[in-house]
Amino acid sequence: MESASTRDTIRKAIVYVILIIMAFIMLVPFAWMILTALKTNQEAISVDPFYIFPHNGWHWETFGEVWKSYNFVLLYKNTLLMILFRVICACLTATMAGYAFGRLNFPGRKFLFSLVLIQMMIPSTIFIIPQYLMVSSLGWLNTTAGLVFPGIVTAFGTYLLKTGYQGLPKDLEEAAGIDGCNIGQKFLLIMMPLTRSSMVSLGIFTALFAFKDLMWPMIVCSSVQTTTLAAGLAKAQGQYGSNYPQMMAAAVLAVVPMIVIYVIFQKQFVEGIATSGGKL
Amino acid sequence: MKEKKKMTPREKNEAIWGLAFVAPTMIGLIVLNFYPAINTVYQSFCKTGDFGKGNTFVGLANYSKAFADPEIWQSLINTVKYAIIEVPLGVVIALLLAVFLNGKIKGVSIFRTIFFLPMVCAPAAVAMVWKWLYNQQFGLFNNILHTNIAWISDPKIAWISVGVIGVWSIIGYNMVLFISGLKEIPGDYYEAASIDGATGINQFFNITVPLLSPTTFFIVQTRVIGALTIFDLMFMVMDKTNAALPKVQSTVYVFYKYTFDQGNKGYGAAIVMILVAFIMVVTVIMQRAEKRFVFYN
Amino acid sequence: MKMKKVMALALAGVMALSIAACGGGSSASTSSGSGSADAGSADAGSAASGALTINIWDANQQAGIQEICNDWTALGNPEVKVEVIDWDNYWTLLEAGASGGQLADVFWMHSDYAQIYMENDILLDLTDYIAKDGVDMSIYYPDIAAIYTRSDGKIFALPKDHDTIALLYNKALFDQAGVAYPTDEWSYQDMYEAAKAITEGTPDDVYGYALNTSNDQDGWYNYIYSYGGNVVNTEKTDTALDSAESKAAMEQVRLMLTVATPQAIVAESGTDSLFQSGKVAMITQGSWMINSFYTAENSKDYAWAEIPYFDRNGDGACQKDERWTCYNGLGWAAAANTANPDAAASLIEYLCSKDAQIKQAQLGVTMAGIPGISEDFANAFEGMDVSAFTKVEENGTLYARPGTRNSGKWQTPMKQAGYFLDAWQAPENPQAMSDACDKVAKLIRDCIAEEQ
Repeated sequence: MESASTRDTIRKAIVYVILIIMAFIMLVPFAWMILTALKTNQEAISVDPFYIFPHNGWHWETFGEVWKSYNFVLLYKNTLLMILFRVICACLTATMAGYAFGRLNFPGRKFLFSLVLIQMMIPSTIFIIPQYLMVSSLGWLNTTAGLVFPGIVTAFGTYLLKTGYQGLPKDLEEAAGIDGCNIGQKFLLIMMPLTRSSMVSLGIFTALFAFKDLMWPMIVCSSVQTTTLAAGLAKAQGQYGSNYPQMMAAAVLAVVPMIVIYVIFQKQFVEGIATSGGKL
Repeated sequence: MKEKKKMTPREKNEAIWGLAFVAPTMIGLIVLNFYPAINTVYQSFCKTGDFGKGNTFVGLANYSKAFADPEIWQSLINTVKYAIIEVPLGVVIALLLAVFLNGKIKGVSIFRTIFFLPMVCAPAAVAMVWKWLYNQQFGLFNNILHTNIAWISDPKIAWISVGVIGVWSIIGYNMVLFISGLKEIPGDYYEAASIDGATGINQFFNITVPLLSPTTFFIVQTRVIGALTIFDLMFMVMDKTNAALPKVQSTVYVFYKYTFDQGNKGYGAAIVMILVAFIMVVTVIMQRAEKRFVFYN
Repeated sequence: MKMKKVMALALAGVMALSIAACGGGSSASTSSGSGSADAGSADAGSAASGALTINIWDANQQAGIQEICNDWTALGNPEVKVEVIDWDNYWTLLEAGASGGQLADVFWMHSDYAQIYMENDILLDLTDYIAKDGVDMSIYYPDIAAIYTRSDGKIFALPKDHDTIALLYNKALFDQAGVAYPTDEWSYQDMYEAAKAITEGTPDDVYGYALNTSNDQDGWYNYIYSYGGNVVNTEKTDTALDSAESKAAMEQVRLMLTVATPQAIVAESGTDSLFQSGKVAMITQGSWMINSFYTAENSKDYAWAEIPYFDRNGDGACQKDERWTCYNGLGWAAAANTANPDAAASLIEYLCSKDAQIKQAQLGVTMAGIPGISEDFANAFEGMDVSAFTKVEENGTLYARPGTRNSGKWQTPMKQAGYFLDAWQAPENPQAMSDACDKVAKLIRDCIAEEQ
């Protein structure tokens, strides 16, 4: 057994080494983002000598400059509002529809659900132009409503919740029915609370993808007052194009909030993504 | 003769509730998705006027122009090339990492956090820092390796560089899905295999891979569609005067260019329709593959 | 029983309401504390508060313009908020706003796009305001005023500024290579020789000159006109890009490219970055960029010379018609559907009034849309001699930036693969440049034909 355990140790060592190398590779861009932000522009574009670390002090003030001149408070707020409303809308509509598809019987149920499935298979690029024209004629350009618009309902969420509801024991409803609850009460008081984990999954999934959406906020919110982090950053590249520390500082400021939230709510995130994927 | 079944009051009640509950979602889907899809199809047959005023029906003109346009075909090739890098590498590396992290490793949650980090970052930020890393003059790579490679300006390799960014971003996400899939495989299988003398690698290919195939298939399917509709990376990483742009730009990028930069919504719509048709074909092929390769318990 | 169904519907209704409410609410709350509302929103409340929004694309000018607007506000007018949208996205998003009927109150208009905006009645007609308020149109540069006058004589924007091009050079690099500094008597050939000497006399990654296909107005356009060609003729009906003169000019550009920074590098980093990092000794730039170099870390090494000329008649001296610089003038325009047409028109007239123009020049924002204010501008940059920009107006000829009704259709592609980019990538090959000229000429002609 001696050789087996040595083999084991070697195997374990290899695994650790690979993991550490991969972790390093994952982190290099982040580290470089921060290091560049802390340099002066001259240092950042200096090639000979080439600076990995800032040479003349760490210029934290660049963050302050970019924060102000690019109105990060507004960017954060707009992004937050958009995510919040999208999550609320998605969860509300999806849980109602999911319950109905999963537990109720009504005419057209199969047909309507197949529509839901079809929507999930269509790439979203096909919706953009008309959605844009609709938002624009509603006068919702440059508003939170415009940002939220495409995310008000979610076929994916409906599917997710339907599966969640289907997984609940059949007897529950009948038990409640005996006690004199109608369908609405049953839904609100008993069934919905039981799908909490699916809802959390959906919420996280929605929030994450809303946060990262680039094209929609870019075309709907041209004004930097109303746009989101993702689009605002894309515009910053046009504006600060040649000042690399400032651009990197802007990038850092754009990713930090989500990273912080992620680190705190790690468990929910991972579970959320896993269950949303696993259910399908 | 078909008997018309009358609904009991109770069934009627349920039906009303059911319809009311699905109404918001269905109305939403129709207004936000189905109607726009049909509208886009219609637009693809039109020539748009200035500022969206006045659409003139032109039949198949947009399509014939698109089919004859080498730029569109090249962009499809570029998009497929990107998918060829992102999907397999993203899946294989993530699977490997997931298997490692599924074993008894110290610091699992730290590793998991680190690997997932790229996923929570706005693609714009990711693109910006990678563009800077790849910069021929001032970037980290060329200066550390003492090379002078035009990572994103050389048409021959730019597409690979962009693909790498895609892989880097998606590994964490795939990995998390794999981990949850792995957890569902009962440990007994492995124990039994060990007793029978199967090596780790044997176990991997004969137990893990087949039992993981539903998860793998799900990941592959979503990533293929995700890769075929990629836009952000190319938009942010490639400057408009970048010589490699024609060999890297994705079809969605071209769509954006014609629709929003040049205001030619009709042509843009036609481009989208072509892409959608392509994706549908790929989806069907994948569904067939699912029947052959995926092992459901 | 029915009540629960009503509740479900009410839930849906509340959702819809809350979205509409947050649409209006967010526009009010995205305004900064000074109470100016985003006039771009559909919220009619902004008309009551009367604050105005301005869109521009040059962050360098934001502070100066905001100051001038504050002066206008102090005269008893509504508040003004100046917003910057970068050039790459400005027109896409302006068009989006125009299609959706939502624009900022006041914004910059550019010669490339003026025609299409005027023809589609997107801009506020200022003619009556001008007549009523007695604005003297004769004080402006006539060419610039003409850009913003529609074919039926109505005026849709007032000239905001004008700009010229000059040659920026890095004294330290010239010293390092032992080359004499540029003078106002330099020809393009002199520039080539200096660039060559510097490229050869400095380390491998330092070049004497840098130019990208996208440096048109500030770069290769000027060669073409100095040599006697044009990009678009004044009637906007044709191009002479494939004429012998234009091709001779582009051949000179090609020569410069053989001693200039490779295009791939310039595309990734931009001429300005390369210059500021000490990798390039000379670039040509426009007067709107002065501030960026004035405030740079190594600005004491930077100096400006007049843009070179081409000695057409071979007499060894520069005649006025041998030195050409592109000049462009932006215009201040208002949205036709702004909630505050009177205030918008008043603001525009103020911004383009002689006093505000002088202040704009003094703040070093840009050169005025009114002739005769150049000295104020020159004095704005203490320690840096920017007279090259104003001297060229006496020593050279100004030509308006070439454009057609929908310039975007050819201006972007001509800089990319399949057109000039191919020639830039193969500077040793004269045929490539000549072919590119032919292709771009065809592109422009096709676009002009489409516009009819």
